[in-house]
Amino acid sequence: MYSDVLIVGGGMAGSALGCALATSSLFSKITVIDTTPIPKAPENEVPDPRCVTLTPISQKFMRSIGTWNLIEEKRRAGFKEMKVWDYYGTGSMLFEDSYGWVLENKAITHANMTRLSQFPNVEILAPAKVKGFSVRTGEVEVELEDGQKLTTSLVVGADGKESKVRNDFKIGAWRSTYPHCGLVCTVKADNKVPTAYQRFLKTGPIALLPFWDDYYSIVWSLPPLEAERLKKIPPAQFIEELNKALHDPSIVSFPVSTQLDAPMIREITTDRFSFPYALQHASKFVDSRVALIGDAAHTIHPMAGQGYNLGVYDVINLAHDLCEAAKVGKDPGSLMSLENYATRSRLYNTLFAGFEQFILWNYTDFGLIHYWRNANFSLINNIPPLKSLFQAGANGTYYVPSHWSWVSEMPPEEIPF
Amino acid sequence: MLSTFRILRRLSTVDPSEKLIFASYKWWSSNDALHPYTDVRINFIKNCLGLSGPKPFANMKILDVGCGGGLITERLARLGGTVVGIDPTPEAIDVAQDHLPTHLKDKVQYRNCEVVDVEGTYDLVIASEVLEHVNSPDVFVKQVADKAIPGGSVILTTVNRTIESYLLAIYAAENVLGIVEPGTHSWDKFITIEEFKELCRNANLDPQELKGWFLDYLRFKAFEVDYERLGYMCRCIKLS
Ligand SMILES: Cc1cc2nc3c(=O)[nH]c(=O)nc-3n(C[C@H](O)[C@H](O)[C@H](O)COP(=O)(O)OP(=O)(O)OC[C@H]3O[C@@H](n4cnc5c(N)ncnc54)[C@H](O)[C@@H]3O)c2cc1C
Repeated sequence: MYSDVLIVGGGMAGSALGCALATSSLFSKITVIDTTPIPKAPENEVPDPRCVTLTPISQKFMRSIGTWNLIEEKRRAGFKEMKVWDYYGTGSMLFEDSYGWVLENKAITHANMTRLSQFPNVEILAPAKVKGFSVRTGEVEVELEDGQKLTTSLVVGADGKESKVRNDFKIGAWRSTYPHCGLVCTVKADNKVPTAYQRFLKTGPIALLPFWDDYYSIVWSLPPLEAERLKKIPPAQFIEELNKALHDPSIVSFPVSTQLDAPMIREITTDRFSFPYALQHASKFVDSRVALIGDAAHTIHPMAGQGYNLGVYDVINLAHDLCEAAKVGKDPGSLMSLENYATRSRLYNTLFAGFEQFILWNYTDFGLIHYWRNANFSLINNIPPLKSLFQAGANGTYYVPSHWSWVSEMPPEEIPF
Repeated sequence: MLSTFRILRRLSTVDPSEKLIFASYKWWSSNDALHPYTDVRINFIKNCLGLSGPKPFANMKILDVGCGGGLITERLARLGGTVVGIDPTPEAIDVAQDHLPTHLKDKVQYRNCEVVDVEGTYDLVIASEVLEHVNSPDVFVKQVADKAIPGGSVILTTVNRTIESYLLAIYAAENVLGIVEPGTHSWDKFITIEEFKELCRNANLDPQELKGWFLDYLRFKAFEVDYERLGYMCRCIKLS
C-alpha cells in the first residue's frame, strides 16, 4: 500500500506531524507506525512526572491541529511567570510574561493519537515494527516484521533519540554527554502558585513546574551518582534535601540582594525516576526520501524546558513545507521539498544547544565567573529590550512561519488565566 | 484550401538542433530554474481552472506536449490527473520514464513522439516553454489546439521577445547565474504577446488569463506577476 508520508514513531512529535498533515487534507494517505500500542486515556489523580512544558507557540500548534481540547482541562496546567535564580549570587530573572503550560507526555500523545484516528486517510499501525527500508526510484519500500510491505514517498524518523530510521538511512549522529542526569517526581507543596521556578545549584539546575491542585513536577538535573543517592533515600529525607536545594540562602550578595522565595515542599507523591541526558545532533536532518524530527534529530539538556518544543517547531516547519509542496504536486521526499526545513531546524537547534552549553560552562564553578554570571542575569533582567528578545527566543516566535499551511486561519493567542 | 490545412497539421515542427540541446539537459538537477517555475505553472493552471483540494486534477485527461524530463507531468499525476507526456527527444523521455515513481505508473504514459502523432482529445492540453523551441509556431499551436476537447483548456507558456528577456533569460540565466543550461534559448525564436494572441486566434483558441512570472534568484523562488515582458503563461479556451 502506498502512503504519501510514512511516519516511524507515534510519540509526541510523530503523532503531531501526522495530525498537521491530515488536517491539511492535501494528502491521500498518511501512515504512522509505533512499536507500542496506542496509549489509553490518562485517568491518574496524581500527575505523572514524565511531563513537558509547552511554549505559547507549541500550545497554539496543538490548537491548530485540534488536539488541545481533547485534553481534560485540569491536565492543561498553565503558569503565568517564570522565576530563575542562582545559588551563588543574587542575579535573578523574573520573566513576568513567560507563560506556558505543563502537560504529561502521555496526555499529549493520547490526544494526538485520538485525533489521528479520526481522520479516514490516516493509517495507524501500532504495535508494529519496521524491519527495513529499501530505496527505489522515487519511493521507499518499507518492510514490517510481520512481512507486510508498504511504499511511501517520504519516511519521517520520529522514533526518538535511538532512531532506527536515522541508523538505517546511514545518517550519523554527533553525541556528547552532560555531567547530569534527570531525577523526576511529583510533589505537593504549600501555597502553590502558578509560577515555574528554576534554580541553578552548584550540582545543576532544579526546576519546579506547577501542575493541577497542589502538585508540582520536579525536574532535578544532577550528577548521576548524586541522583542515584537521592532516589534511594527515604521520602522524608528527600523532601528535606529538596527544600534545602530550593531555600538555602544564596552564598554572597553582590551586586544587589534579592532572594526569591520558592514554595515549601510538603509531600512526595510519586516514585522517583531518573533519565540519562545527552546532547545529540544528527549529521543531517534530511536526505533524499527521509526527514528526522524531534529527538531523532536532536536532543538537548532539559534545563530550559525546550526539548519537546524544539520538536514541535520541527513539526511546524516540516508540515508547512510539505503542505506547500503538496499544493503544487511536488514530490514530498525529494530534497527540494525538505531542504528548507533542515536549514531552519538546524538554526534553532544549534542556537539552543549553544546557549545551554554556555550556561553549563558558566556553572563549571571557578572563581570570578560567578560575578560575571550574576551580572549577566541582572543585566538581562534590567534591560527591557534585551529581556524581551530573550523571551521571544524562548517563546518560539522566531523559529516558525507566521502562517501555517494546514489551517486557513491561525488560532488566536491564548494566555493562561 | 482545406487540404493545405490538413497537410499543415501533419507537419513536423521539431527543430533538430533544439532536439540536440534537450538530449543532454539535466532536467532534475535541483538548481534548475524550471523547478521553482513549475510551482508557479501548477498554481497558475489550478487557479485558471478553479481547482483546489487534495487531488484537484482527478478525472482529468491531460496531454503534456514537450514534457521533457517529466517535471510537469509527474506533478499533475501526483495531483490526481491521468497524463500523457510526449516529447520528440528520446533521451528526455528516458529521463522522465526513469524518474517516474512506481505508484504513479498507472497515471502516466510517456511517449517519444510529436504532437501530430497523438490520437484522441484531452480535457487539458499543456505546452509549456515549447513554442520558443519549435519551427513554425503557427502550425504547432494549431496542432496543440487540435488535441483539446471543445471548451477544454489549453495552457501555453513562452518567453517574450523584449530586450529584458534577452538580458535576463539568456545572458544572465545562462552565463551569470547558471540556472539554465547554455544554448537553451535563442532570442529570435521568442514571441511577443501580440504575435502570441494572433497565433492563438488562428488556431481557434480564445486566449483568456495571461500572466507573467519572475524568479527571485536569491531565494530561488518563482512568482506570478503582472509584468509580462519576460516569460508569460496563458490559458486559452478551445472554441468549438
Ligand atoms: C527528564 C526530562 C525532562 C524533560 N523536560 C522537558 C520539558 O520540560 N520541556 C520540553 O519541551 N522537553 C522536555 N524534555 C524532552 C522531551 O521529553 C523530548 O524532547 C520529547 O519526548 C521528544 O519527543 P519525540 O516524539 O521526538 O520522541 P519520543 O518521545 O522518544 O517518541 C518516540 C516514539 O517512537 C517510538 N519508536 C521508537 N523506536 C521505534 C521504531 N523502531 N519503530 C517504531 N516506533 C518506534 C516510541 O515508542 C515512541 O512512541 C525532557 C526530557 C527528559 C529526559
